[in-house]
Amino acid sequence: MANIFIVEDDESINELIRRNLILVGHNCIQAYDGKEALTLFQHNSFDLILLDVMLPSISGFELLPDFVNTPVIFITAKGSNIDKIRGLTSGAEDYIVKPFDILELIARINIVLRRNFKESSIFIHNNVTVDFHAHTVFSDGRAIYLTPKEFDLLEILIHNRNIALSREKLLELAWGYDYPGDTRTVDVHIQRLRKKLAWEDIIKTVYKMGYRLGVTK
Amino acid sequence: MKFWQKMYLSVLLLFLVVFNIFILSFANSVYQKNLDSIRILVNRDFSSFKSSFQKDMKELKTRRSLSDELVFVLFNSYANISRKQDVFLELQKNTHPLFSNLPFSSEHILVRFHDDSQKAVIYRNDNMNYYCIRSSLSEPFSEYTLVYIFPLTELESYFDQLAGKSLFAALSLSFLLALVLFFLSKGLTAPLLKLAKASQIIASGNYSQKLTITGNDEFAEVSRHFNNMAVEIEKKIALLQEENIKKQLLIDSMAHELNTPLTSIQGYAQYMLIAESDEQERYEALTYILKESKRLSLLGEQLRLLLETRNMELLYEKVNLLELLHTVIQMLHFQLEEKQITLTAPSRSAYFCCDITLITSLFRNIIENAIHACQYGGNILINFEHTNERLVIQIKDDGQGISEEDLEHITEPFYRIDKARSRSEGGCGLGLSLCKQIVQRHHGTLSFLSEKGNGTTVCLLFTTSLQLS
Repeated sequence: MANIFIVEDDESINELIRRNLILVGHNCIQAYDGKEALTLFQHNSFDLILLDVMLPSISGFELLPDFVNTPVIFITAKGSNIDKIRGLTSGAEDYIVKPFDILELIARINIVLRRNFKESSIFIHNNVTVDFHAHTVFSDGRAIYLTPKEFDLLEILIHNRNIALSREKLLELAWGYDYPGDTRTVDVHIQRLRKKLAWEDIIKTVYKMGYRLGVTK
Repeated sequence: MKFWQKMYLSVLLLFLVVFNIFILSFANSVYQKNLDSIRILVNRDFSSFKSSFQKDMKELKTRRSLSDELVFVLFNSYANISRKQDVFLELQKNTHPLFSNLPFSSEHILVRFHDDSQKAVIYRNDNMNYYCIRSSLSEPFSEYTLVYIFPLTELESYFDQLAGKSLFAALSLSFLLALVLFFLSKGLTAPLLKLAKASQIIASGNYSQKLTITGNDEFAEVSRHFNNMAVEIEKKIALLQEENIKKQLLIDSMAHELNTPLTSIQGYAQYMLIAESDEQERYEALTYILKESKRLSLLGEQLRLLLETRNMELLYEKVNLLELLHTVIQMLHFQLEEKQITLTAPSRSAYFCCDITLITSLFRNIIENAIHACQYGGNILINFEHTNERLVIQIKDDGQGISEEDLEHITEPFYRIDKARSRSEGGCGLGLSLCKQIVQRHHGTLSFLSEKGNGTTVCLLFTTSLQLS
């Protein structure tokens, strides 16, 4: 749940990013050109900035020094390695290329937030509190015991909340690429989570897609 | 072997061979000539000696009887006289030498006389040539044979001298020639080397290398042409590089133009799959997808037109420009009304030989741009100016104008002054590139007059008589 600044001149893409970030619980402010970006930056404090490299009349690289004390992730349409390297060595935290996968963007944002200690470590929904640092889950004040894998899965669902994740994706994220088992283990774990947290309505099954933790604000 | 070496050696060799052959044959003919002269003289001398001796023998025989001693004495006196003239004599009686002052045995000589008809031979002994005559006395003294030997010393020494001089001449001349030829052939091929060197430098990319031209000969001409060639190549390469950069820019722009709508389409489609969205959100997402798809479609169409216009065959017909203009105005009628724009068309028409489809596109693009530039309630004025030499079409709007900086680039593909506004209106930046292309295909020029905030005038100029007939 961070304050994220989206600086992207293409309206539809800017909007697309905003919607996705809101889904997973971030707050977003949007700017469409360099001037607007600088003005808004003065009047707000952000946890992270998504900065398009190709803005009208100025490049993202040139704006970078003005965004002091805030981690920046560059967005660009260019896929060339030179630009990637330039992007990373110029002082940005990370670099993502259009068209990007939304899950990837969310994951990278989380990593950068974590690195800069801006990640929220607590998640609360109704009467359930999840502490990511302490690895504890409380429901109505009562401690709930989860196995490490169950906790991992829960964490992933929370970080990608409101987004449908496929079984394969969940398996990959929680169990790793090399896991030899199949996706049934995901189903089993989901069942257990639902039961333990009484979240049958929250952790929804999405037709043909997978599972979604649905906690709209 | 190098050319100059080939030239050098072949001329030198030729000279030496010819010269030496000449010298040799010359010397030989001189020798033969001299020898012939000597032959004649010697034969004459011998004849007179022989007849004289014969006469004396006759007389001797009539006065006394011929004894060997008497003959000897007689012959001796002849021999002494002859000796004073360097002649050697021998007298044989029945092949038996009676008197001889020969420096060597006559046997050696006599074997060389193959038959009786042969009178003289040349015999070489001890580095000296001897001219030898053998003859028998006539009756009644036929048993006596005379041998007359004349050493060719003078001839020999003369010839030796001649040979010496000739050799000296040949050698010194050859040496001189060798020297001269060497420098000459080197000197003549020097320009070729310069040419080779310059070619090498140019091949390695330095086109500014030029040859200095001295004199007016063939090499100077080659150098002149070579320098021209270098200049032309330099120009061509610069042109090609420029075009290459332009092409690269186009490709880059195009990739970017494709990428942006695709990102939207992909993003929203994914969003709809993974997010729980309500009806409004779905509507908005799908609207974006549709809009971007249409934009891609338009991009494809514009691009196709742009490429086609470059290569297609134009269908020329005589067009009533005013009619065409009104057709275009009709097409844009809605947009004009939406912004309440006043469009003033010319009162009189002009006729123009052109491709009607392309010129319709041309007008449409330009007028659309004018509409976009205008504020609400703006004005567009269109003018035709038609003389025998030229046709000028002006489209003037009082809209927001174009800055000097942007004016340079507006006909570049994908160039947009205000990206956000242009995109929202569905443009993809190819309109003016297309217009430029169309005008060029009709052999005209497209120019702009504009000031930021003060409207824009688009000027189309056509001058070829083809168009104006």
